[in-house]
Amino acid sequence: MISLLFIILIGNAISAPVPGHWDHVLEITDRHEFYQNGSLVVKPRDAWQTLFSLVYYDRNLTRQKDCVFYRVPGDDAGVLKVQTVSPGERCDDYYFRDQGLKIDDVRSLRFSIADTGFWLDVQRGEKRFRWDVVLPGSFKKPLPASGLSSSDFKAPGLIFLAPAMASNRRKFDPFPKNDTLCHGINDDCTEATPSTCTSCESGWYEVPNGCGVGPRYCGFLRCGKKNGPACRRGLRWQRKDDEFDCRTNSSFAYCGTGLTVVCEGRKAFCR
Amino acid sequence: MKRRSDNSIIPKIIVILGTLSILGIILLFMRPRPLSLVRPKRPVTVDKLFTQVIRAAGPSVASLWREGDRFFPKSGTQCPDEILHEKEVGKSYYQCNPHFWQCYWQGGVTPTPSLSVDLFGQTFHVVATPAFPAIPALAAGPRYYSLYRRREPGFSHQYGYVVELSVREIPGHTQSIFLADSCRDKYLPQRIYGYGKVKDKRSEGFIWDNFDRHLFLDRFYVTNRQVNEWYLLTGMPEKITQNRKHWARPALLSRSDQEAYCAYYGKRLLEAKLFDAATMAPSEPKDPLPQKVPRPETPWQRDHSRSFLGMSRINPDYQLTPLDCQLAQVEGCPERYFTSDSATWMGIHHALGFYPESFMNFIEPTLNLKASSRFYPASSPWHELGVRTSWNGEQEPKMPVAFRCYEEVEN
Repeated sequence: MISLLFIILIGNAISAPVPGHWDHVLEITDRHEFYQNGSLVVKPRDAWQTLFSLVYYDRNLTRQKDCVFYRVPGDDAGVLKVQTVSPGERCDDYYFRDQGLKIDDVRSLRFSIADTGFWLDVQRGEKRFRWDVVLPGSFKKPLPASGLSSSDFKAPGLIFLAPAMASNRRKFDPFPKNDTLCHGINDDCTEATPSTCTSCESGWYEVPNGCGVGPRYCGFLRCGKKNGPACRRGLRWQRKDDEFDCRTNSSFAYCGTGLTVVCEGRKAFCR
Repeated sequence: MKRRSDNSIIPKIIVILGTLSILGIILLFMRPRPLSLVRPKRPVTVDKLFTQVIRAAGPSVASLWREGDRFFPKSGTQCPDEILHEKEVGKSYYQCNPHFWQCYWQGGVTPTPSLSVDLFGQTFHVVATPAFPAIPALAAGPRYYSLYRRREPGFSHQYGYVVELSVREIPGHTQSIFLADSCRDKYLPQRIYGYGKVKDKRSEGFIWDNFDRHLFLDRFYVTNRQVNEWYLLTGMPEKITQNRKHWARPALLSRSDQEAYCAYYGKRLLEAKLFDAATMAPSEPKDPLPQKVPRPETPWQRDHSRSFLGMSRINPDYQLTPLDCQLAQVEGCPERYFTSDSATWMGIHHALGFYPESFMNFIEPTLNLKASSRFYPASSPWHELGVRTSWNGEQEPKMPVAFRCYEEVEN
């Protein structure tokens, strides 16, 4: 009886519980590009790999990232490691730092990631354990409609937070400076750089260029003034399909009283 | 022979009926049952149990937060440091209101506040904890919430509130939750809109559209309560409005401070053309690209002359009725804050009357003020949509100027 109890206790110690704060994971990032869902991870032998990382917010509303590393078994047994880092940092930079949770003597590992969560199945010594994590309901952006509020459009209105984490973070990531381009749009209306305008501290403004979306910059909207960007007027109030090139048809933009729309390339300004 | 055959049928029938009955009973037990009748398994560990109870409490927590007006007691609240309710203040004020949250959990609404959760055959009681430091500028005791404004890029919400919950039956565990301000603004549908009044009836005037843009307009004026939070977050507690009776009233800031307040929360001071769009009801709501864009003169009636405002112009002895004052608070009306009576077609309030309101106006920059307010009689020509005047940006006691913000959200 006592030996049975001992085996159960050892077994539990070996099995390692799922980190409690993973109940609050909002996003899975840095997924390893080669490993297939559910397949044994066997290559490259004796090398560290980032399997994936988990993003969540702690009690201080600080964005945190847990990197999940694996040293694939080879001559030595494998090691599973979980390290909390700053979301701006690369997981790969932490392969050889021994902080956070470390599980050694791993003989084999497989994992699988879905929209709804993920699992990790680990053979440690003679024992096997499995971590199953269900994401707390991924947010599906609602269709904009009458009555909807901006916060309900952006993200869930109620977010469960992880306990405050003591990570390696020394300072907060800075906001982009005002007038920094946050969404690049080419003259042919294709996207030059994806939007990061949600990172702007005090909102953003657009310089209309006759495209569905014009280039956007962090900062205050001060359109329609002399020597400043023109204001966006829209592409459909004209009620006709037209090419809105600033030089031939600038009706998509307007300026304040007494000023006229002038073009700099395709972008509309006021003079 | 006949008797023998009768005797042989009866036992067969009994056997068949018996078999069918047994089969029926088996099938009855094996039938698929609705999910709701399948009891979820109670987690073995206390940690998991706590997590599940807290998750199950989510809708009740959201309801208390968003629908504070529904929880507001008829007898009033008992939390003078947080709420000094006046009958002039509509219950909408208590939606997504951290002072109502504080009042509720410190016992000012009900003596033993809790949210019940029935799970695994047991009733759990979820309660908020006073886990946050006091805000001396407001009250002495610890807080049931903390103000949040994001300090770095990443989090989708620019601002909001953090609260902490526990479960009475599961001591030793707490859960922090972020609550967004989901009650503040309303979406402006994508369509063609008109700006200002049109002098020549044959002209369309200035028209524009907001297709591919997600614009959200504040429902009410920005209040002293909201500006107090701005002062606290920006380290200026000495500037907060102390009189709790004034917290629901419009904040009276200079024009530059109005812009700074909105920008701090990732918003912009409301634009004149957006105000017109939100208050001039479209004649064909289902057609976003109508051939004509009318400019109604009031939010509730196309023909101004048939409204109480028009009648007041014709008849100097016109007596205001309570219904008139619900539509627009003009001179002679009792002051009412957060009334939900005067909603426009897309859901904002105070289109005409109440306080003068400040705007950005990039079309006619000098016309930056809606003068229609309770400072003018119903017969005043200011009480028309699209009519604006100039404001120098400084508050004056005789003509206080309110404001509201809007936010453009990316796809």
